[in-house]
Amino acid sequence: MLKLDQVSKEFSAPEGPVRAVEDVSLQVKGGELAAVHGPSGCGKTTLLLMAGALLRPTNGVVYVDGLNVYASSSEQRAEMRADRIGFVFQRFHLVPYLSVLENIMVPSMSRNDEYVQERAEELIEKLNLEHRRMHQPSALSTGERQRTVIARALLNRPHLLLADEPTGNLDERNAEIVLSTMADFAENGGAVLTVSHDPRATRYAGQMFGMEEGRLQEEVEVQETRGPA
Amino acid sequence: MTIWNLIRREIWHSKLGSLSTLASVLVAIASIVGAFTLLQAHDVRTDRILDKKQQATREDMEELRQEMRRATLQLGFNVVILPKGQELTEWYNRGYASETMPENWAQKLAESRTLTSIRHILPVLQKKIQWEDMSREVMIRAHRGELPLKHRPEKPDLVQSVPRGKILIGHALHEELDLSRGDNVRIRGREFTVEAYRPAQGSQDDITIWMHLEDAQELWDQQDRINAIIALQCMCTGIHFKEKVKSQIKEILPDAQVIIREAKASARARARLSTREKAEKALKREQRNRRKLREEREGLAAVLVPLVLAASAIWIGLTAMVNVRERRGEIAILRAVGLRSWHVMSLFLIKAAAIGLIGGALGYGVGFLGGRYMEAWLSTSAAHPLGIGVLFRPAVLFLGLVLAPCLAALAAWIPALVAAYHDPADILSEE
Repeated sequence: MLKLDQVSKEFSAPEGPVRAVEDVSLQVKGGELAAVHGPSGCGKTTLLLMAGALLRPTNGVVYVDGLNVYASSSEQRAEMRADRIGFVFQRFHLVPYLSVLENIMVPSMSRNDEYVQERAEELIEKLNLEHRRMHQPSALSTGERQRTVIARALLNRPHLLLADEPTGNLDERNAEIVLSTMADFAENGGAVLTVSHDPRATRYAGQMFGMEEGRLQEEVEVQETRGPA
Repeated sequence: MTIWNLIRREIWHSKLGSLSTLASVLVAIASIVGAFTLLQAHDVRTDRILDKKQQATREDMEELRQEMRRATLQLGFNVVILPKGQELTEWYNRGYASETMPENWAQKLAESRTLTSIRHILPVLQKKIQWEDMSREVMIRAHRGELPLKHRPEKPDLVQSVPRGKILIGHALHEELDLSRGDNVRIRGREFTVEAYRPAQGSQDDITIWMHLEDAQELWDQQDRINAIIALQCMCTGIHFKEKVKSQIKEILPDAQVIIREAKASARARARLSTREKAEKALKREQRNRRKLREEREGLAAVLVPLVLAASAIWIGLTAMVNVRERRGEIAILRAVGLRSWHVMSLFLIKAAAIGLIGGALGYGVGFLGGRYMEAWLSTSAAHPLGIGVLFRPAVLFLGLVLAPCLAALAAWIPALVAAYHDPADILSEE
């Protein structure tokens, strides 16, 4: 599903070029949940954006479903994001003037899907958001906002779910809901890559990578440890 | 979820920005429609003022025409054409000309195309004689009736000819000589029958005998000769009619001299003609003033309207740019979930156009009413605004409703482009 082959990203800065990600290679197959763990500023988000067809790497190749992501045009990458990739962000980025239902349905604007409302209602039910269905983000708790974001990411039935600090601001109960939802997604054949400095995010991971100063340090084989520790 | 839903909700969410854009479009369209309505109202009012003045002038002219008709009927013949060699002193003293001219000179006048300044041409032969049978002096005036003007519309004759062998006598002769219709009299040995006598005129006509021209020419053995052509000037020739009458006649009859008798009626006619010229001048002055006023207003609108349009466009653009700035996170996530750049661009353009449409409709209303009232206020303090139905033009409404969304969308174009090509990674990596 996702393959990063010697991917690097360099940013120019007044003090000289900054290498945010250096020679990273990893692969997440369908049914796998991989976690990248590391401190803030180590390049996790940059890695995720490159994996999500949002940031062109300086070197290396990114494949999603076997397609070379950055060999295609900007509009084709947008189509790829709409059809194949779901995003979960720490800061949620919910549209403030839309209800929970409408926020979940935002990705449907790029597709013509007559069952989209049905699918959105299913996700609302699954993520226990029925009572917040018509509420705007400002009326939601942090956990409810993150659950809304998860529902939005899953609406278009993506193949790959990318999560940036999905549990960073959540309490134990909400973190559990988010992580188990991602795990369910992986169990149903999807690929999940999550980057986080929160140790809870590793509970469901089949693969775990450490990251420091833009480099993947090691790949840690994780035993079947599904569920809270 | 549709783009339209998103736009509708966003407009409602960012009320201040939306109202600001709405106000800008409203002002822009109101200024255009207002200027257009004001100029249109100006034109309508100008037409009405001029129509009113023209109507008043027409009525005055009609009254003048009627007065002129009455006056000319009272005036009688006032143009006398004499042979060039006639001594005027003698003519004034004796009351007739001793010199004669060919009778066909009158025909030349009657057949002329260029003679427009006189009508009712009457060739005459007149003499003052001692009527020996009656032992008194009388004036003989002989004619064969008016000559029809060949190239002018036919008019009823002012005088009728006297049948041959008959005479018409003045009132004094009727009374003093006890002559009545049917009486026979002798003049220079030839017998004539009194046809009628004329009512008292208080002039030389009271001692005048009228007879047929040929009878008189035979009496004095002056076949085909006359000693005067009398005519009536046409009052249609303007206040400088005397010069015109004289020049036209002399062009046809270079060997004649022309005398125009000034009369009270013609003096009055001159005054009326002068009044008409003044009225026409006043009308032209009014037309000039209104045209000048329109040009001034048009000039002002030509400067103000583009300025207002430019200011509105800049304001709409700035408001849209602020909106783009505020919605960076939202734009980034829309791009991240797969919306194309044209989706994002259309969010801003459709929003601007939708607000523009509402602003255009409101701006049309404000501009239309504003222009209508302002024109009335600028006209005179007493002027009422012109009727809505008179000023309403569907094309202007259509223009307002099309121009407003276009203006708003064009002004928001650059901010929309900026939004569409925002790199979502820049914003999302700020986390």
